[in-house]
Amino acid sequence: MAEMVGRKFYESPPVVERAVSIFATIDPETYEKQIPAWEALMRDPFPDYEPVTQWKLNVKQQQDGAPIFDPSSAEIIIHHRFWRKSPQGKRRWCIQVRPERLTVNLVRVDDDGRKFEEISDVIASWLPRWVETFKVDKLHGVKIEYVNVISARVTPQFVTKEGGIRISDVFRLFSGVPMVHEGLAPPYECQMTIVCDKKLPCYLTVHVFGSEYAGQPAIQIRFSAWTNTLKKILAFPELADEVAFAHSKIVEAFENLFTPEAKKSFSPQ
Amino acid sequence: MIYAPAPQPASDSVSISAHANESVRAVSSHVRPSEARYKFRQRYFSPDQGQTTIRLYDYPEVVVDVSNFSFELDAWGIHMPCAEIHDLPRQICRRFMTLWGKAVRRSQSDDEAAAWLSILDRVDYSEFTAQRAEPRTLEGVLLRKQPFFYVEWSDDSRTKLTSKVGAALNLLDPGELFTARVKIGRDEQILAVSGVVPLGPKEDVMAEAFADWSRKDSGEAAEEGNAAWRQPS
Repeated sequence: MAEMVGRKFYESPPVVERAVSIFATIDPETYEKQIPAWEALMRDPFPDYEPVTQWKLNVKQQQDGAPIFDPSSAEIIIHHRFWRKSPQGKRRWCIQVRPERLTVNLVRVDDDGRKFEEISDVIASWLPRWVETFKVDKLHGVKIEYVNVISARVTPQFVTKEGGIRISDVFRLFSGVPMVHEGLAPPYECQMTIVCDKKLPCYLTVHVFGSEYAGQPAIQIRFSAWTNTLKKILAFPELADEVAFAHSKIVEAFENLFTPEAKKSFSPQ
Repeated sequence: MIYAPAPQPASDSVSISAHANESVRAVSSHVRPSEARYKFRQRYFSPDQGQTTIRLYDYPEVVVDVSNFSFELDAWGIHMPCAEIHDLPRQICRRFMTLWGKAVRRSQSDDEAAAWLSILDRVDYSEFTAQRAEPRTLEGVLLRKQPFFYVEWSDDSRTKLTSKVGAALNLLDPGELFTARVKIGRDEQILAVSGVVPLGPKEDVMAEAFADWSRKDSGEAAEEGNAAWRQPS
């Protein structure tokens, strides 16, 4: 599948994290049973293990309309993250396993520039082992996430002396307000899902919101391109193309939604 | 053009949370709950990286004391702070193996014995013991290798082995007698084969064994006959 926009490389893009997820059907018993074996596989290459607890609650409404906690469906789930640190000792690479997906995260450490191909290489290396360990035989699609941050730390060129972020100079969506105003104040959150391909399917979500990064006020701009649905069965040979297509939508969003001024400041190579 | 919502999977980002919209709605109740019960969504635990499995019949129940945010694992006698719940799988393995060791050594206290019985009601103990069992040394004949490994054991039973398990028999020729260390699981399922020692073609081994018997038999019969002849009537 051809990319709609020619890909450019930048020396200092505002990307602070890239994540690629592969969705599959895994037998729940097999998943639980094989977690120790997966932990053993991860021990040397990704030695920093981080269990993440998810507390799931359900709230239901009583007849009088008052919400109450529904104890019958409260659950605790442990998710597993395996990290590899940079030479500076900071968490850089992460492999996450969940009952229905494998995720590889590449987190920015300081100012080091990374490329999407590095994630592809890690996936190519670990996907077969994941498939074998968890007896995966059905894939349902992929999801690619890019986390961009506009802040004094990442993009100082767009932060005023007073600490304000010139978002309208950076991003073309959700930033222009067609009325006289002196600025924007929190809460600031906007989200949109674009239908890129109804048949595949492929959707792209653009999510912009006020946040924090490295202890400083920031605006996050998240691009998520995903192709997975439970009804879809993706053959293993088609996976690489699907990842490439979803990534091309991220690239397209980046090129079309950041302003020319912003892209110039990211130092195109 | 606005289409129907496309259900988006939750974010997998690890660095910064984007779940700004998720929140627990306020609970309105005239009675403040003292505890909250949660199902802990894990039934398989392994004390040794997958070599042995402690399988629970059902997901265990965690009872949270909301006054101090600690929890107890129902019927296991495990109490921990909620902040450490991610360590619960390891603590379950520790509790199980500790009580199991004491049961084997017959050194459980009365309380521990009661706790162990309670745990045994919840765990597939036969699977655990089958996995812990040491391999046995068995003798058999490799009947064929293709299209699958097929073995006849010394008790005349025959087993088809998976390619992974049977791979240890690859050094044998079909029709060859052998001994091996065989790990047997539940329902007599063969889990692993190791330490394979070829003994030679079955016919040759049998012929040699019968030849020995024949020599012994003929010698002993002659002796018996001579002895009988010498016995006074």
